[in-house]
Amino acid sequence: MNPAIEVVGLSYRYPDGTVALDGVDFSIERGSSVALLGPNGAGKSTLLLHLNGLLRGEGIVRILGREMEEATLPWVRRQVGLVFQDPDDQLFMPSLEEDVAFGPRNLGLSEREVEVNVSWALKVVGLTGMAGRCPHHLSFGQKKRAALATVLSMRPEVLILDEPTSNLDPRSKGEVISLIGELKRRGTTILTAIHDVNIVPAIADQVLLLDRKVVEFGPTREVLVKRGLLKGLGLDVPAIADLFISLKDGGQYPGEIPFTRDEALSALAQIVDR
Amino acid sequence: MSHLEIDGYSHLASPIHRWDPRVKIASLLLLTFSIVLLKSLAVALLGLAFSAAILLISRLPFSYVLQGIKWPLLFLLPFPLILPLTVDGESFFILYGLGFSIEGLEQGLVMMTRGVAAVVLIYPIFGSSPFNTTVHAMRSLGLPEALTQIFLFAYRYLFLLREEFASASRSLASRGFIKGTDAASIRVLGAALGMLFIRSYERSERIYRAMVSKGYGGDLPSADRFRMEGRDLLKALIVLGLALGLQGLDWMVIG
Repeated sequence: MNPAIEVVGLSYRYPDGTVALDGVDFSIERGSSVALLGPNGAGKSTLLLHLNGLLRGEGIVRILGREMEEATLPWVRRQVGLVFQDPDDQLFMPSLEEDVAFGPRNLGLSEREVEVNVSWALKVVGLTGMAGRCPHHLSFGQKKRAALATVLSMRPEVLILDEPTSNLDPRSKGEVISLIGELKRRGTTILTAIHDVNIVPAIADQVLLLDRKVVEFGPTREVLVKRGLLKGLGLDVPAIADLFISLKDGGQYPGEIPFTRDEALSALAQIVDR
Repeated sequence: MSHLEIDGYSHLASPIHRWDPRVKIASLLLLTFSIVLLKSLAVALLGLAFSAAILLISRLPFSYVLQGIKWPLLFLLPFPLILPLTVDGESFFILYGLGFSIEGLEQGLVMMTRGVAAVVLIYPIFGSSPFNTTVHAMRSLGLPEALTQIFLFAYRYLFLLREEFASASRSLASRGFIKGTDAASIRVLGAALGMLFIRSYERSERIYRAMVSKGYGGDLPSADRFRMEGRDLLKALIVLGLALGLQGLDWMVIG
């Protein structure tokens, strides 16, 4: 066991008394990519804010083995990069270069290191050459990638993404998905809160179902076929999987539930052959 | 080009654009102060000519500047119209028993000329560098950290606020709302503005969280971006010479 994130008995109540998290327990291995699913109001964003120390509830949060407390907060924020849902919340400086350099400069890196990190982060997200642009003038898809660059420039071990594909057109969505895949290949631990279940198989090895407490945590292909559980939480099953679960329930298809287009084509070929 | 984007022409190439922003701000502000302290109309007109020349050197489009100074002009124009009626002196024109004094007209023209010259100079000062560079330069000239951050964030989010208000206006219009001056219209607009403020407040909390998550502790980190060269100082000396020259001439004329 080599966990990047460990959460033990985490509870949080908002000042108006609303319970957002109620005894949340889970552990995420280093280098893995986990999708965080749950209905609206399930506490997903609240949980993400705890992982960067922006909210402090009752319970224990450990990042890379170190317990989160006041003294370790600066270290935690260096290790955990948090990308917010609305990029306009994250791009607050007058130029993209300053936004991407904001974190590294706060870390006290030298100007040379800041420059290297900024150009690397902009290259990873495909925004090289736009460093001088005002973030306001970027397209929404570019803003989403720029927000990711502002965090990548701090070279975090753990990346927390809040709805990285929301409101994106299919092409931009595809770009973000391949970016997450690339970061995963580089060994970054990734936790992604997401509503679009169809892209979960493409970005995550595991799924964490949250509804104020952990409802289910397991491999993506095992959790996303639990139709009753997902529907009970008001969540969808990925469209391809949903179809083949119905075929399996009806006895027309005996094999593994496919999640991708290619897998579905093979599965359909099996059905036709039968 | 919207006048919210005061730095919309900061990409141009001119001796003013290439000037170290710190020296540029300090020198041109000094010239501005020198002009607004002038008492002689002839010297004030010379000051206006200097301002126009600096604007010309900066290559900022005159049409853009004219569009921007029309509002200050609205405030400045009444001076030569009202002061002749209120300042004692020799009348040059009498209308229905009301005397228009030469002294009043001259004072009004001086005030208007100084005002126009100062407003014209604002453009080379703030329009020839990206706004954030100007603010960082002002910080290095001693602008307090809190004000620096207020300016930077206000400028960054002004456009977003404008878009959100435009979006709210479109939403109102799509449901048949027509802006008017009656109480019902004002109530609706008040509610829309109120909602805008609430959303702005909530956004500011999210922005603050984003900043803290990236290690923000109260100070904005900044690269040491400015480098002063000999020609920056030379330009400063020329402007300083103009400022002092105007004061000297004014002293000679007025005494």
